[in-house]
Amino acid sequence: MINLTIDDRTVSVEKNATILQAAEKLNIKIPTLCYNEEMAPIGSCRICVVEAIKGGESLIVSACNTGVEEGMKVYTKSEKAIEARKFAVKILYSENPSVKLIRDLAEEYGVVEDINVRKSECIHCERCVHACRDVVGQNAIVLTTCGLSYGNDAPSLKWDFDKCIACGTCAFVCPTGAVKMHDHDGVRTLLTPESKQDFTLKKCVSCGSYFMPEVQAQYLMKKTELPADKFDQCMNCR
Amino acid sequence: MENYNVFASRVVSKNEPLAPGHRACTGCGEVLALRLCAKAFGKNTIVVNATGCMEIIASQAPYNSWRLPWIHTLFENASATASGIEAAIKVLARKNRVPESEINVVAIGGDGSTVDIGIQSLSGALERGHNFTYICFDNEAYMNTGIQRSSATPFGASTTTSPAGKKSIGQSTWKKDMPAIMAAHNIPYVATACPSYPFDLMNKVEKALATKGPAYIHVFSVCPTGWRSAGNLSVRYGRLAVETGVFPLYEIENGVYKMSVEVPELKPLTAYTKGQGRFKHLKEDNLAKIEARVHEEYEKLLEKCNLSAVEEGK
Repeated sequence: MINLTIDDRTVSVEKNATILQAAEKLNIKIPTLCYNEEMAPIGSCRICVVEAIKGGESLIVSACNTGVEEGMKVYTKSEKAIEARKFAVKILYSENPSVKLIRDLAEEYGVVEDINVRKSECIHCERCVHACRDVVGQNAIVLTTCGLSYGNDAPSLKWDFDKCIACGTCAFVCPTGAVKMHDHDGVRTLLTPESKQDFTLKKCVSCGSYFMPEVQAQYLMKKTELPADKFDQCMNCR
Repeated sequence: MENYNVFASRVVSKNEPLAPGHRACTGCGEVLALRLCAKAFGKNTIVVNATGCMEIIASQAPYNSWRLPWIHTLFENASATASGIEAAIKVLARKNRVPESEINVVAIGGDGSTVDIGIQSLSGALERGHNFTYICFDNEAYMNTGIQRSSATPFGASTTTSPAGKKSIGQSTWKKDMPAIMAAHNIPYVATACPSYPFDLMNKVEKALATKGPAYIHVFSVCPTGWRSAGNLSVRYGRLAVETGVFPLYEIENGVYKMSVEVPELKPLTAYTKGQGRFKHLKEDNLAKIEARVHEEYEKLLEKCNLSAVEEGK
């Protein structure tokens, strides 16, 4: 067990715990956006930054992916930590002022300003990228970042629709609702920040209701090695 | 509604505030709903539990399945207790005795304690505008005392106090429309849900908890013991209830009606009643009568949703 203090309160946690988990144990609330407890930490939104003092050195670290250390002193509400968090919120707000979640955060931290409005809801937190890669295992979403090979464009998410199986996990994990999915008239539409794709749905041979995208049935057939007639019927008729 | 059927379930919290090992019947749809709700509650929640199945099965002295603060109340006063807790939290926060972070207050009860016995205290709590969430788990009769009829029992269902026989077709009155009564209190959030649509249910609970002011969720819970249906088909019966229009899923946010699951074409009622022992005695003409009523109510609801959509469009 490792002992540390958070906001001058002592807590002892497991060896490989993070600062966020230790704070949760003490019921200290640290705001998060890209963190999902069932996925590996991503650490891209920088909302959860705290001030950590180890060996006399004061550092600004993200709580979700920084491990605890013996004798560490963590301050979640110190001037330095709040200043850093304010900056992170300001950056997010300047890019996505139309998202309610971000607007509420900006109001809480007092960084609401009139800045030129960009109409995207995507905050590039990469939750969908990691979910598609780690949970689904398809790796159909790629974040193109800045760099020599990418040019000077702002980062953007690209969907590879050859790999996509229309399971909707990206729409489920998206914290701001930038990725949307809906079924209508035998077609499933996936709306991403920059593109739109339709998938045909499979019809149940017994009752005639639509229940699963064709690509998904093919993927599951391959993965489970079951015969094709196992995927002919909906859940009610099986 | 979003249909995340395969992989999204893996990113749902694995934390179980309602511990396993409770004494619910095999195939209970109600405890499935409760488990999903508990996942959505989060850590800072106080649960007030009216007497009913979910209280009996979770707290056989000296054991308790809840990993959250939990209070057992009588049939009639779950909402009154929840109002008291909410008021106490307000006072303690004012005196800086509890942290500022929000504490959710949730009252849960069965259809007996919500629709019949506890309706006066619930109505009072909604009228006073306490910031709490009430969840009704509706299994359409008093199940733990031995299947007595309640006012949530549907027309034609056979129960021990409305038995079907030569001169009776079982329950002779129609099911009380509880979500409509709750909506008439002009509270910010009213919704119906079903554990056969787990993501929809969890989203609605989260939405209700985030609502400032009272919120009400009516959860349709299949009861294999009381309905005389097969225990392995509970989830299917929940889905069929939605697809036949018996229990449409919708939400009312600040007076705006919205369908959560849109059913393009309602399935015939027999798909739902077939296999349930409580409807076994019903003849074709009885079923036709019930089906006509179900379709009429469904049309009425659709009309309200369309009206809301038109108003929103302006």
